[in-house]
Amino acid sequence: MSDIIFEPLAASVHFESESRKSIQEWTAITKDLMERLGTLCGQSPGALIGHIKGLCLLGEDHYIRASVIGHKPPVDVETNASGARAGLTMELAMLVYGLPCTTLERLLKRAVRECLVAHQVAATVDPRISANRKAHDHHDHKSGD
Amino acid sequence: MFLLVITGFLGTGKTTFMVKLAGKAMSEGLKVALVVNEIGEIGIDDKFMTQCGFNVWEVLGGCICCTLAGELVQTLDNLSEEYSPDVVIVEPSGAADPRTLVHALALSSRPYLKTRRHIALLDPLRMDMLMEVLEPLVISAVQQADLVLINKADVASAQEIERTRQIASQANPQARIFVMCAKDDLDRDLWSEIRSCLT
Repeated sequence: MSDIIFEPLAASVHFESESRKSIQEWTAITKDLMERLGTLCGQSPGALIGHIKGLCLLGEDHYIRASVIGHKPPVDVETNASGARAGLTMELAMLVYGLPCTTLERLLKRAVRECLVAHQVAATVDPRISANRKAHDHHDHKSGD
Repeated sequence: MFLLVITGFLGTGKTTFMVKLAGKAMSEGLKVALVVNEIGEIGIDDKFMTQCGFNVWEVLGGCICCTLAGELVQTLDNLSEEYSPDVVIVEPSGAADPRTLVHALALSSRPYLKTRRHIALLDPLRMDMLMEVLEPLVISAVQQADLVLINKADVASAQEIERTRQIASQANPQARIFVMCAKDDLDRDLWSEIRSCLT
């Protein structure tokens, strides 16, 4: 396992809609994005999903939290928020073995594009690759040590 | 100050469990601090825990089982001096090797640490896959654990849970094993077991 590539990708995905959407609708969009990510990553040759997790902070103590660990188990999504809003930002961490972060970024952008079409929203993706490469450099112990 | 270290592979449910555990401990009057170590620039778990109202300290920029072990000890020193919690719950990155972490903590014993206990979370849904590609990491986590928690009882099959239990009991016959769902409120027996570690 120690020789398998592990380059976590962190990113922010900012969604916007022309009209306000309910938290239920945003939760569905969030879930859809995570499902697409799970499928795209899980079906990539040589990939092993450790954890793909997302968090949308919605003010006060409200949030939408989403998580996927493979392409078979369902996406785990929870929220304690209510009401409606015209946009939200999801902080995303893609911890996937076997895929370089450039590939993860490409899969993320593809998943977001597919989401936009399906849900009639706009989005911008802000990946943070260089910092994660540095983080990975620190984590070089071997699993059998 | 008591130290609880929650280990488990990525996506096993450590953060969800930690939030429940910290909530329970605080409701019992304990002063709790959470220490989170995440790989990646964006700290997601610490933001979630902070949003839930907990006192969270981050160790970012790498993994506390290797080069950041010293930073973890420094964080514990600072916590002891500045916050004096009854309990510190540490969540290493899911990619951390618990054996290396235990070694690092053992080398850095501190007079303010009354006890250190390790809780290993296992994911029965992915046990076979993890044993295939990450067996040393899984076994290491179980061997270091005082308590083994088989999570995701709400979605795992009886067969998956039993298989996980067998692996855990073979790797560490002394460890107490609980089956649970981290999303639920903490089981009374499990809390009693953890509470007994804090006395």
